[in-house]
Amino acid sequence: MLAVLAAASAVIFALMQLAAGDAAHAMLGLNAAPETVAALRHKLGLDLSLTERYLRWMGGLISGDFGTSLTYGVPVGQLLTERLSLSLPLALMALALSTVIAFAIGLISVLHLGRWIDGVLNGLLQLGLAIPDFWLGMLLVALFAERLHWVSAGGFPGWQAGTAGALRALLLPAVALAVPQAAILCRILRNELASASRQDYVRTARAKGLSRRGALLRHALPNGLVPVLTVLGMQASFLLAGTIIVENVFTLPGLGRLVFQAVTQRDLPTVQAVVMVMVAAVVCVAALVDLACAAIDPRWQERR
Amino acid sequence: MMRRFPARLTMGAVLVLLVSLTALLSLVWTPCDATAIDVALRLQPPSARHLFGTDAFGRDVLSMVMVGARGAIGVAAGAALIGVAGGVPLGLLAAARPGWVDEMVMRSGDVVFAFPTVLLAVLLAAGFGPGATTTAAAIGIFNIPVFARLTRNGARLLWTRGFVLAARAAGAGPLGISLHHILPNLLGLLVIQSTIQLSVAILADAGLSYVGLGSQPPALSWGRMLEEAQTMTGMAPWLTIFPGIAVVVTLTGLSLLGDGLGTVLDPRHERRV
Repeated sequence: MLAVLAAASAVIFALMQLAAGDAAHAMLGLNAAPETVAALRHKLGLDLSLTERYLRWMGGLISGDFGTSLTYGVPVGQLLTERLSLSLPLALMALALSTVIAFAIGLISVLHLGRWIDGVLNGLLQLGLAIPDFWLGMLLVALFAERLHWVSAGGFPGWQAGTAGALRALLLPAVALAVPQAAILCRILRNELASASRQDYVRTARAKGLSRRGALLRHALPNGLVPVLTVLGMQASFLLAGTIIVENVFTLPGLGRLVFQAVTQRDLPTVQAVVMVMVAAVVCVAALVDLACAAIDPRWQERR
Repeated sequence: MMRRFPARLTMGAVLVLLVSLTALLSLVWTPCDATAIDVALRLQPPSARHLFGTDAFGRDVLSMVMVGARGAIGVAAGAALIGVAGGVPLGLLAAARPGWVDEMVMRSGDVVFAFPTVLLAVLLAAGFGPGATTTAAAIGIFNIPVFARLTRNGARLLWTRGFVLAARAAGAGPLGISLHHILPNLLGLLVIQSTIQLSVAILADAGLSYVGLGSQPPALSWGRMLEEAQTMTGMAPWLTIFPGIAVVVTLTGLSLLGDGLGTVLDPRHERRV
């Protein structure tokens, strides 16, 4: 895991260096005097060698210093904490919603396997798989904010204005993010349960007198959890990345807007830091899922 | 006895064909000039003359959606091509050379997997400027380990099979075996995975061009159309609805096609109830 993180950080750093051209030149314009440029280069640390700069950056990351934003002139770490206080709860909310929806629909569907309810749910699933989250977000805004006026069309009041208001502002974006992910998760769950329900151990459980529902919930469900958990782990990172785009639909000041502004304004220290934080999140979640899978299913380690 | 084609395969193929043909048709014909601006005709609702209505500049939305299909397919196909061209040889190599080569290929895959596609695109756009090529490259790079892993896992199973042992006994080298015995047996899997990666790419491209990191104006894309429509959804809902439906139709087609191919090409694939 640490090796992956180190390699990823090197990739990010190398790409950003390649991209950077000369930040000092870019900041001062074409007509700047050479001495001014040299002074700024020294201030930004651009006169050091590549390795030195990489090690400096890594050292900073480990001690919590993410550098200074070129546009805002404040520490990137501060920007990150501010923006994460929106993006992280949003991603978690979406993850919770998608899990609840997926399990509810998946279980109903499997309990009525082959009947019309299953057919209808399957059709909905197919649709859910094909809907882009940001488009769903736009439709939700059009319906619930512009037509029905139940919620505001976007923006974020901030946590200090009250938890309820903040959560309300995050509800529609969370739904938009959750639905397509729920469809993916539900499909895996349904397939796992459907194939498990044909297994010998489920037949044995039924023969012992357990109801169909009991056999599925007690015996098939735990066995289907490992693949579901793996997908759930992947989704956690997709959701965090998905917030980048969906935040734009609802004009939420989260990590996503920060990183896009940074890209357009060529604020590379910020881009570099945001990407690194997200990659670290992805890698950590993957490691956690691995541990959880090993805890649920002792065969997991060998199978890998 | 020939097995009947599953309904989802037929439906998926029809939808995918429809989108591809539309994209091709847009090369030679669109109902109106997709870029012709006519302010007098701005924000017209759908009518016989403009089936999908017109946008804020009086451009014909149907023509724009048709041209947009081209961009979406181009990016997705480019990304899939990068993935197959990079991933399949790596996967074959990893399977043929267990040990450190295999380990290297798989671990570098782990590093790429740590970057969600959107992030890769952000990085590349920050570095090389946004555009359709950047998007295709970002998605393509993500596709490489996907195909490498699939090929490697499939190929490793095949290496233990009788016909490969027979070929080895007959003196065939690892390259020959990989190309003549392993690869043909993996084609089905690769085709199915390609349909999945195509839909992932279309989704990612739409999202990226929506936030301005995809193809740049004057090129038309579904994502950009949605971005321009955003402030006018209440006033001119057709601007939001049609490009979105285009994405949904394409993705539904690809997903049905992949599912259907799965049941036909892979005999072990369980038939769905």
